[in-house]
Amino acid sequence: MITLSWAILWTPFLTAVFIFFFLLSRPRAAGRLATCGMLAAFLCALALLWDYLSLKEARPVLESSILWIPFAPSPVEFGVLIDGLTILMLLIVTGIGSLIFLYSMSYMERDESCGRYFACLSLFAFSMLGIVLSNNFIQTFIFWELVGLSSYLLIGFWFEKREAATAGKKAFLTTRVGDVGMMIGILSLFGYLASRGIGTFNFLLIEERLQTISIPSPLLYAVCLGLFLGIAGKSAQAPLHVWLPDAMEGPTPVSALIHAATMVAAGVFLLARLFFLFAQSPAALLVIAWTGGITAVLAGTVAVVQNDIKKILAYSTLSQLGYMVLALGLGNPYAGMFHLTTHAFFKALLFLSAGSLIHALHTQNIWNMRTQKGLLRSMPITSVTFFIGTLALMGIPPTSGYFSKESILAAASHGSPVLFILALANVFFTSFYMGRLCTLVFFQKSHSARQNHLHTARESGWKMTIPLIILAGFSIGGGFLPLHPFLGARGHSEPHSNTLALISIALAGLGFLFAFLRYQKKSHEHETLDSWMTPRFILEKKYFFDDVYDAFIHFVQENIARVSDLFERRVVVEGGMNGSARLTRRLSRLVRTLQTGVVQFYALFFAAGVTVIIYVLILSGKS
Amino acid sequence: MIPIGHVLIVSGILFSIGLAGLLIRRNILLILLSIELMMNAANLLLIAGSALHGEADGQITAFFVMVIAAVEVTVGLAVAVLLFRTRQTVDTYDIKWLKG
Amino acid sequence: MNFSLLLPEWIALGTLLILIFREILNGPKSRNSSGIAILLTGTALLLLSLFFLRNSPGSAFGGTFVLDSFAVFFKIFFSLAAFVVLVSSRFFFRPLGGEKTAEFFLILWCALLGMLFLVSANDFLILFIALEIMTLSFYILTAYQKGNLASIEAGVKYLILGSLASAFIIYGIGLLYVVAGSTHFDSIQAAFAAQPGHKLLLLSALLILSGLCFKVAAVPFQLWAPDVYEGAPVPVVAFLSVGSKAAGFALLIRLIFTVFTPFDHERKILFPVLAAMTIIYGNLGAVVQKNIKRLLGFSSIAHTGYLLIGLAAARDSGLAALLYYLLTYALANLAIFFVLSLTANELKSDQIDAFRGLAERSPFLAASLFIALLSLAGVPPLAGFVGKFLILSAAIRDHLMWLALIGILAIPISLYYYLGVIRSMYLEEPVHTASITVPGSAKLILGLLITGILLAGFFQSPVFRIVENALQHF
Repeated sequence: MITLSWAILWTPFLTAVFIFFFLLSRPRAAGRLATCGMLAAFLCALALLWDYLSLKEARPVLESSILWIPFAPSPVEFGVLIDGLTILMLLIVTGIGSLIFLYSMSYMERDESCGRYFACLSLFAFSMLGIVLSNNFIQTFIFWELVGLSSYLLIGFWFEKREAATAGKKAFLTTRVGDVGMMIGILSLFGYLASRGIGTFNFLLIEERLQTISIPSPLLYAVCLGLFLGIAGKSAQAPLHVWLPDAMEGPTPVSALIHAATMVAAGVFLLARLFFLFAQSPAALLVIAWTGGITAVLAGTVAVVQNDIKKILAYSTLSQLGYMVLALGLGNPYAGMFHLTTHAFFKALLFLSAGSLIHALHTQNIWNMRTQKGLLRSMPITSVTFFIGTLALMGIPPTSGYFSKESILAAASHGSPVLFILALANVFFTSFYMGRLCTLVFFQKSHSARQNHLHTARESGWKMTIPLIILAGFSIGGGFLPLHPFLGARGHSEPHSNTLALISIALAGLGFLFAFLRYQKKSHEHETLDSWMTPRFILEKKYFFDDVYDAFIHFVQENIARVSDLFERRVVVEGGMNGSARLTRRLSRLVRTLQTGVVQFYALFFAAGVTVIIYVLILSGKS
Repeated sequence: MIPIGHVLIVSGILFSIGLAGLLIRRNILLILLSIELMMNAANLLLIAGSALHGEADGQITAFFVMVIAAVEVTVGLAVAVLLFRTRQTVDTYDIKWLKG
Repeated sequence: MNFSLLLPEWIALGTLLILIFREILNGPKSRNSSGIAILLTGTALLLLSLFFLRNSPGSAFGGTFVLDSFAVFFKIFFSLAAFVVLVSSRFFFRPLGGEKTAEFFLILWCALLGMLFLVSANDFLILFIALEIMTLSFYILTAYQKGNLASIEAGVKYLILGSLASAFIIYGIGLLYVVAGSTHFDSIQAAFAAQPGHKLLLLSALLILSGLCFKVAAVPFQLWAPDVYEGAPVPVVAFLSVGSKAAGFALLIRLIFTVFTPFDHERKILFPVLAAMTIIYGNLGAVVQKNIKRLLGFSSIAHTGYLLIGLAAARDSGLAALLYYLLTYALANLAIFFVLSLTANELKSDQIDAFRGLAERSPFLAASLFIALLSLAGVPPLAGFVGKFLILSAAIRDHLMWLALIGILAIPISLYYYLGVIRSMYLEEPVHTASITVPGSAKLILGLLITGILLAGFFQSPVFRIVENALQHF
């Protein structure tokens, strides 16, 4: 079993390296190799599942590691940890990953640099699997950074486009801020454990030792917040969420894989993995829950005024991630992970079918996507699967989204009432913006002559539709997956409450209905922004997060930068660097004079050296 | 039996003479001679030690050292001849093309 | 009498005799390739025998020859280094043909033979003889290129200074004998234990150590190194920098930590100072160099400085770090000199300028040189970084903060001159743009060396285990 997990981890790495060295000039071959690699990993994950299920213990946990750096303060290992949570994530990452790789083969086929694309994508898969399989903090951090790097490479894939390059930078920098917090958290925890004589980075060992010693609450609070900062960065929680919408500059399959199903889920996954730590700090959990709740509503409301289909889905992702984080903050990792799983299915589905639409219609603006005959007829598979995804997102039974959202709402109902109301409100917003999207794209027929000149949309090829169908299937049936054996140790499913179910379904239905009624006949959004500070304005400015950050950078940071630049140029470079370089040169020339080339000088130096040594050690030191 | 202290002093003097010779003389052949002298000073020690402790080890070692010294001088001579053939000099002050 | 312990030496001796007889019988008609074949077979057999002997320690010849894990480690080290050097010298001497070079291989093999005996020596006589076999072979090898004035000059200097060092060593041995009555390590160790404060014993120890420090190019005995490295033929410099240095350190370790153990206090005074001065001298001297071999000479002095830190620090961590560093240093140096042998005939010059634009002419060679140089500079995640890290940690652990600081400050300086070469290779236009073809066998060996550098950087545990195994007895 352990070998299987190593195979899963290293296969994408090997394909990435192979493509990088040999196949950059043969994009189609690269695509085929990468997809086969992911499929192989998926099959290994299935085999792993089979093996795992056939083990006799109740909830087995397996670990295996190699000593990597033997002489650091605490020996650093490189290992795998296999339990239910791991296997679940492995299946998600490799399974959805394979589908997206397959989809990419068709989506990116006209792009000549897609060899690099598949190399980066495989590298990403490797990094993500590394996080999933890791059994200690250091390894997780290393792969965490690698995921950030791969994400940067993929977001900025079309780096010739300025917005893409900027978006990549933004993503990297924002998550970096989070990573600092994470590092501080990790090191503080290690430092404390080391001061008690049990310094280790290994998850299982820490969990075990926490049962015997207890960490003082302020420290634990700080550690958890630090770790959560990193998680917030990766999973795009407020206020570190600003990078995710911009990340839509990357190719759509990238958005599907990274920004819907896997990378952003890494934070939630880590939260679940480390839940034993967070569980001991109710204060931290409170912060986490509120962050999740606020992010959910914030994103949900901004999504209402977006015109780009991918941005809508991006904000939707932010919102759903908020739900997951909320669930974990409320002490129910089961609900959070359940929603992660179902969200992976239907969000990937939504992104991929959106991609299918974009691919066929050559536009991302929802106001320009209607066709004369109606998309339902010209692109049936895409349309139907998109609907299914929408239904799952809104939480309509019997889709998987319904079950997972239910469990989160149930958990919220036991917590703070404000959070509960926020969660419910978001159900409304979710359906509203999705309703708006569907109405404008699918339920309108275009009448203007301009839009008739668009290419008549055709359904996409099998490489794109098969993944859609498979994902749609899981979106519907995923709610019935037996996830208990995998997540059972971490929480429970709340008892089913019929009232709650009815309320949420009603809210969802209302949201969709309102949107449909409002946008059914509209052909363009109100352009005028004459009244300042209207709700619409605030939403369009995304609650001014970006503006505040920008202002901070311009007024504060740039002035600091100017002073630092002066200091750097004068003192550091001129005095320090060049000065030390000059000094070194002078000393070097001094040394050179010793190498006179005359052998007797060398011999003299030799003899003198021996004499000095003998004098110092024997004659003056009395030994 | 000569007191060991005397032997030590004599061999020390020999060694120093050899060392001085190496440092002062400019002719490579004389440098090789000086090296011989130094090694023979060591031989003196070995033989004296052998007499002091009543063991043959020192004398055997001295033989080996003599052989090795001879080989060294041979190689040295060969290189000196090589040098002379190329540059017509065996003065160590002249061979400073490699420096800095 | 456990003759089987000397199996590697028998094999080496046998190969040597075969070579000599081949020379006598065939004379100038002997072909280069068969000579190489004999030697490579010999090396392979050597390694095989070492593989079989690795777990059977023992002593022979009345305890004057000892085979322990430490010795086996170094013998394998020397054999592998010799293997690489042999192959590289094949490429270096290719234009010269067979007659001029048959003796080269023979004498190189002699040097190896000396090294093999050296690490097993348990008696000062054996030590001296083996040391001289090795050193004399190197004198000859250094002056091998008879037409090249630099080679002759290097040979003269090395010989004079080396003989001086040998004279010091044998004088020290003589003193030891007078005081202790035996040249056997064990007896001398007993003598030291019996009279710990004896001035003469300390004097003799210092004389011997001085001679050995000459071999490894430590300050104040290092002035020969740049000249010799510049003048000697490339394969010789390779073997010198790797094999001779390692042999020197092996001896230093053995002597300091088994025979001269009572002088721990002196060790802790002497070696940190020497290490610091050596690091400073080596790094500063390299900065203004324009000749790549001379630069490597100074760099070699600098690395000796780092290795000396291993001798200065506490026993356990210092020695392990030293051996690890030695391994990484050997890998990188062998790779660099391998590239130099391949390009020597094409570039016809040892100046760094000659390497301009190497990246265009042969990307493989440029890349190998790049990785090897960065490893020497101590850039993570390459092997050299791990070595430096271990050495500096050992220093810090033993509270030699000032020494560690010097070691760290020297790193950017070394980066400067290593990157100078890299910059030449990658950022400047070549004078002649003809591409340099690299034979397949060369690519294979060079590839293995570079892979070794990368692996030893990532997977430190296996290497660390090997090193600890070698140091069992200390």
